[in-house]
Amino acid sequence: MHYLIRGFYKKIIHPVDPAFFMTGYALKSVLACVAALFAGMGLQVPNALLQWGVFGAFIVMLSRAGDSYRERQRVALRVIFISALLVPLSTLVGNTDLLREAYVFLLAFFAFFGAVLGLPAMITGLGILLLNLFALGDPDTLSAGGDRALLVMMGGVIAYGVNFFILPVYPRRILRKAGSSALTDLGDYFRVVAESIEEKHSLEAVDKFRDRARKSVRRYREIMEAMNMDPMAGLDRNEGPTALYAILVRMLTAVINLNQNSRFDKASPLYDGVRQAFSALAVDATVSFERLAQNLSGGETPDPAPMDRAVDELENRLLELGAYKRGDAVREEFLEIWGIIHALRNLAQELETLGHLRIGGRA
Amino acid sequence: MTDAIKKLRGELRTDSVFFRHAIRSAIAVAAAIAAAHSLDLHHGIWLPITVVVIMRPSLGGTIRHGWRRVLGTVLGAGAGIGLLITLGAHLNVIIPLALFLFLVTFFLKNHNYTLFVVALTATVVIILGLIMPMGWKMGLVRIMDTLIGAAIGLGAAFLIWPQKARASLKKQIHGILATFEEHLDLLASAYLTGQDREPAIIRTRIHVIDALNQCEEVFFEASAEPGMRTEQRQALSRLLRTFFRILDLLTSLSTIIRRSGGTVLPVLSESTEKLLAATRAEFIWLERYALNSEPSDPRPSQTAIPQFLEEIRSLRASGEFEDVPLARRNTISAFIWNIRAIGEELDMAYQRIFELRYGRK
Repeated sequence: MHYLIRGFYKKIIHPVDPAFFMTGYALKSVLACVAALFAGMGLQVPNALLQWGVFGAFIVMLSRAGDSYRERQRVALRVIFISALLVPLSTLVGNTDLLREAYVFLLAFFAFFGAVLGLPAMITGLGILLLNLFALGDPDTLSAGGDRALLVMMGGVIAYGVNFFILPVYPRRILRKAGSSALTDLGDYFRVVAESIEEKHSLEAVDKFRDRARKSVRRYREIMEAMNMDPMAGLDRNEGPTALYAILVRMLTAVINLNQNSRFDKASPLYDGVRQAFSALAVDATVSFERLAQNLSGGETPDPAPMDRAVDELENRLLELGAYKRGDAVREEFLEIWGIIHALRNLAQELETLGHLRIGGRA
Repeated sequence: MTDAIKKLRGELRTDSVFFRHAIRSAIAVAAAIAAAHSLDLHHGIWLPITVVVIMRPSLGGTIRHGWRRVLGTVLGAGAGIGLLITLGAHLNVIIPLALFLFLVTFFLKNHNYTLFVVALTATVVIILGLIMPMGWKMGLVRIMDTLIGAAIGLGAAFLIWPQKARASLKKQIHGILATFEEHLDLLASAYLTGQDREPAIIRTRIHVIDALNQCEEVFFEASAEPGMRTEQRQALSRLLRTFFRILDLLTSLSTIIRRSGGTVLPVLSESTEKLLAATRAEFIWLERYALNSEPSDPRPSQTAIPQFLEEIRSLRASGEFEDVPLARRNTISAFIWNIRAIGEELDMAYQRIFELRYGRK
């Protein structure tokens, strides 16, 4: 992305990004429903049945779950076919008083009990239940139920086509972009924390960057939730969108810790030496963050070495100051600054882990 | 497939939360269908839909969700009725407005559930009000049906195996402390033996994160249930923050241990072992305290950290650390700081649990 566009994107579009994604999905849902309606009209389906094509499309668009493209396809197909099988039965059973209640009890029991198998199974179950509630609420003959089932299948297949072939969304691709934005925001936050030691930024300014980074990491999670992705999938394999989320959270924690550790006495004899060392570190660390962000958006492979080298340099600079041998008071301060070094080492470690993370491509 | 069947079979018992939730919800949905038919309601389908949407495994969860649903429906239907009465005749204005509201609905979905329901209800009321002969009165039907549906859902939540989140607080607090302790135990053994136990550490960390997420949900739901005092709600919220800080500290400790890349310094090995054992003992005691207000054994004294620091000081004075590389000394300092911080957070957790039980000191 060009740096001018990127600046505009970060300030104007970035803060509402996930809602745009949802609104885009809404437009796509409307398109699928309208396409199902027009297809029904084109096939000269009677007016009383037209809504069933729309219901089929709507339920498929509503039942999106699974943390990969394939799994989402599977969930959609299951919803279409199981619904189409059950709709004739629901249409018929809706006529009979006690049987209707017993039938809906069983249907609802299986839909809710499906939660045992995880989120995709639960979403599939609830989608099927909702569609069958429509059929139960408007009972008719078995053959009318069969017509409805055909239309549900038609609407579902149209929505499937719109969702996966005409206007596909690749969750991991979107998440990689969101992760890249979050990383850039974390890099900015880190830079101002490092520079605030040189008094380049006020505490309020630092907090503003912290809030932006925090929002950005939360946004990543919101996008995951908007896609009904399992937040725990892939965490134990150091791969997948959840692993990236976990690292982003740890990095944010590491920079917040660094910020808390880096408030030390300006009257300290160590202050000048540390200040200069941090200046160099801020530049090198920013390079590391930028490279990782580029890598996530499909750029070159990152090299976490600059950050590590910069921390080494900071460590050496502190040693050269000889604070350890300058009495108890200075030694205590020196140990406090070691806290910063430690926080930085943590951060460098997380950057390295992120460099090895596999997010995956299309899926 | 076999795994799925095994999982389903495993939960097919009357004391399973999943099973109880499924039975409770199924009864509520069936009752809603029966009510819609026997009352011959307009758009009776909204009753079971409301039930499906608000049912949660715990009473507090159902109350929270039901309240948001009802509030959003009343506000949204009110807005829809107002717009239909004032702009209903101007189709060139009201139709684009309804479409705009539809988009706003999705825009709000992940930001605020109540606002999402407001926008959704307003859209539905406007569209149906324009199509159906009932006009704006459709809004009143929507409110009525949602209220009946919510009442059925809440009734089921209160009457059928009421799963009070509040009743499971002790178990939740005990559970999260036990997972923390299990994670710390593994970290300690990795640090003391110098063995690479990363896969097991990641597994226990996932357990901790899972348990903490579940704990957060239960705390929120318990706060929504009747019978809890404001100060208890505040204590819960503070306790949750303490638990999250402990998680951060354990994550940080795991990074330190990974960086240490070897065993503990021989001169420190015995005292480090004692320090870690003392920290674990604090966790174990707090686990017992979470379940029983008065555990049989007294709270472990918190002298391990000062003793350890004293030992470090005397070793430093005798020059034991002169030949130890600075990076390693740094790791030891960070390790001490983390253990000290965990001790402080455990003390805080003890105070929060005390407040939850007896109010503020």
